[in-house]
Amino acid sequence: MLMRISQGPFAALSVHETATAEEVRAAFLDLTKQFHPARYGRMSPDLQKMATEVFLGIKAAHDQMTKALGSTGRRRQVSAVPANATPTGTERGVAAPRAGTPPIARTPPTRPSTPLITPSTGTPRPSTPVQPASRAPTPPGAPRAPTPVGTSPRASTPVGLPRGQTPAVGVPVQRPSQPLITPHEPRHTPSQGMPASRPGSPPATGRPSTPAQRTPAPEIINPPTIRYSGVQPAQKGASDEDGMLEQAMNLLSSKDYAAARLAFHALAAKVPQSRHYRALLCYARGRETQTTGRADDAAMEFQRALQLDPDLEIAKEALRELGRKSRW
Amino acid sequence: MRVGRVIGIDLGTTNSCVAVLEAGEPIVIHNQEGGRTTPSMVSWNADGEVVVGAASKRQMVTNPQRTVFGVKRLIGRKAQDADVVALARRLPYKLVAARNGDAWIDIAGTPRSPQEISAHVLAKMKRVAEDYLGQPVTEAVVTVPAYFDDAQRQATKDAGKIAGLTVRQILNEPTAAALAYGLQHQNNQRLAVFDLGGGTFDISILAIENGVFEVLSTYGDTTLGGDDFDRVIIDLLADEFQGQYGLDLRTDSVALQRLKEAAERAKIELSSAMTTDVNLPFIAAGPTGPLHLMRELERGQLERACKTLFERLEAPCRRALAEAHCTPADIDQVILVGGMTRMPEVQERAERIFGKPGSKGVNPDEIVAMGAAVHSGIMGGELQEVVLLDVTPHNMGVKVAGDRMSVVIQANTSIPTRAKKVFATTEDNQDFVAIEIYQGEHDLASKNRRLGRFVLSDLTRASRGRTKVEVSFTMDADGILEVAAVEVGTGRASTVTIEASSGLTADEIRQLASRQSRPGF
Repeated sequence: MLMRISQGPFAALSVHETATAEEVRAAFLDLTKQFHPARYGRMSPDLQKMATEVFLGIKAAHDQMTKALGSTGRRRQVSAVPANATPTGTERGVAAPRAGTPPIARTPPTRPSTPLITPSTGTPRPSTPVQPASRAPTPPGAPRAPTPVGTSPRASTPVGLPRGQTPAVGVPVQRPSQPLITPHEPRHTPSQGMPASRPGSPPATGRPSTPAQRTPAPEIINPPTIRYSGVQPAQKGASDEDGMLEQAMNLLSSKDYAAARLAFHALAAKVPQSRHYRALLCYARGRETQTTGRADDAAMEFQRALQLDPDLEIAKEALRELGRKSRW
Repeated sequence: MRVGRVIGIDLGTTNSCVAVLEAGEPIVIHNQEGGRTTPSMVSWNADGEVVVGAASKRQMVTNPQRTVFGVKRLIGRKAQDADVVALARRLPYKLVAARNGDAWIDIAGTPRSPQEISAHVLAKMKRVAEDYLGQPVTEAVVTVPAYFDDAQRQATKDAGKIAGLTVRQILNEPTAAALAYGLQHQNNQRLAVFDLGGGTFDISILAIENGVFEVLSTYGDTTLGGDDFDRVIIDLLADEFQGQYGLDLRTDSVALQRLKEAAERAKIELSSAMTTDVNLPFIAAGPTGPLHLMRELERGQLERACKTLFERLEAPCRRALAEAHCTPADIDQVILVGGMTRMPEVQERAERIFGKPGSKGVNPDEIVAMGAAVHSGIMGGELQEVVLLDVTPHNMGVKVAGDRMSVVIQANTSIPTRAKKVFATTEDNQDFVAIEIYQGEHDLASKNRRLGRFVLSDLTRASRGRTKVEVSFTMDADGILEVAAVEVGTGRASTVTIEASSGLTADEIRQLASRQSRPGF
């Protein structure tokens, strides 16, 4: 991505040179969702720093193009130079001044009485790191103020690396394909439904040892018989999923609701597109809530379960128990 | 690699709330007592044992000097701040100044930092989440008022560290509320979040565009909250009592604590009822026997007494709208956050300002924690289609000749951001510059908060004004500032990362953390 940014705003946003303001904005929003530093908030500080630089480059490209396109959407000239590329002398020369922009007058600094520092020019600078292209050329005679980003790598680190050079640390340019939350808890080893540490225990029919067992569930009238009739999304790893589902359902039948909730959460994280699993998660949460006497909260969970999966009979049954009507 | 869950905590002035993301939905977790929120209160009882939450609230009346509430109003602040001095006069517990001038709390002779006290609340929320999740929790997203400055944010992070939590992100409360709301209503729209909590008032204007939540502006008042309304009621009752019996109840910590409790209850009741009874028997001893405070309070009386407080709500809203280049008509939804927005007069004020009523179906006590949980999902990659662009709430700049503040990053700039400014020497043959970094809105640097200082030396000697230094500020998404200075021409450079200090050293934090992790601390 740093490579792309160093190749100029069009490449950075990966839009065509004739892109409209809307297209530029859409591209920017899309890249923001992929590269915003918050996405790397749990990773190493180095990686987070890199993400910040990448995002600053994307933003600079967006700001540069938005400015050039103007509010009317009418195209003005956009420099092909990266928004914050290393402004070596030659590249600065390429930076085309935009028509209509008056050259920025560089007034000499005022002389204050105390020996400190003063704002050197009255030039208001954009708060975004838009660089050469948006700046007017230095008037002849005035001392040229080249931005010395290239001379010292530590100071105001440039976003764009020199062309053709790959960054030393690999920047994640693709979204993580897997959710970062690992899909299931170690206590619920999926295939056998039993924690690996208890090899001598009977297979899945017995009550699996889970942390939630310490809260014995009070008796609920009409214990639900679990009739599993959900549609199973066919995909790879299905057998693993089957094992997890079977185990979760077993936990539900044994009224170990906290454990069932954790198991369904793992399942829902594994198959995020399944509304059925999410519905079952709500159902388990509802049952768990019910055991602590909060009927209203429980009913809400059952309603939510039915909203996700209107065919979830067990949730309808639970609502009937509570003497409430299903809204879905 | 196995990664634990990240929880979202709304560390409130009066109540705290914890939520976690489950299958893409934020779920508020009940505490062990069955409550969805936990009072942000910590007491030390006679044998030095620490009590947190509802249990602490219960002993507030019997143990007022060792029960701390509203510590969020003190965190990261100086004992000499005018607001803190004013606040201290009305607190049943005692404030002391720490070595560096920070406001600390004296508990039976032991000075304790607000970070340590907040850490007890955070640790409680952590335990609540661990009980629910059945696994240890070590990471959190914690919310703070949008208008909190650097020191207050850092102090909150340190509180997390003491509680054994790595704070992955400090999130602004109104932004968090917008995230939670927007997750359910993802169409492109503009939101105003009106957040009147126990201690602070924040207003944020956001735009949701294709799943990107962009904060356009944020504004606030860190000294306006539910506590102030309580205090107005306390004063109303105590003044009347003093007029009648010549006794000031505010000088007796037990009576003050009872008054505070009664005031808060009356305020809450008056949100739904038109009148309420204040009943405080045996509140004081007079020359002729016990004195009782019993009277009826009407909603109208409360509203008249709080008139100046209500009026302070409008200016920040107008300012936030102006900074976002919006008119009230541009706002599609107004989201009311914080328990105080249950007060009918507050709702009415918000409606008058924005020309539309607050959004229905939002729980003002829970939405912030839910938003923090949503953000944990953004970080964890669970929510791919949502991301947040927040702003920095304060100006960041450099002190220049004449104690002027030269702003480099304007308030309400979207972060992360980088901005540069060129400065020149002010003396002939000046060979170094001291770059002093300040945060705040005042034109005079000394009236703002100083964040740090560094020196760029060995500059080219020349007549004044000829040697130029370019200063660049880079602020990351977490609001951490890195400042670099480069001499224009020679490339001589120096960089500093501004390590906000909350007043506690790394050692002190470690010590407090190990003390808290011991059973029974």
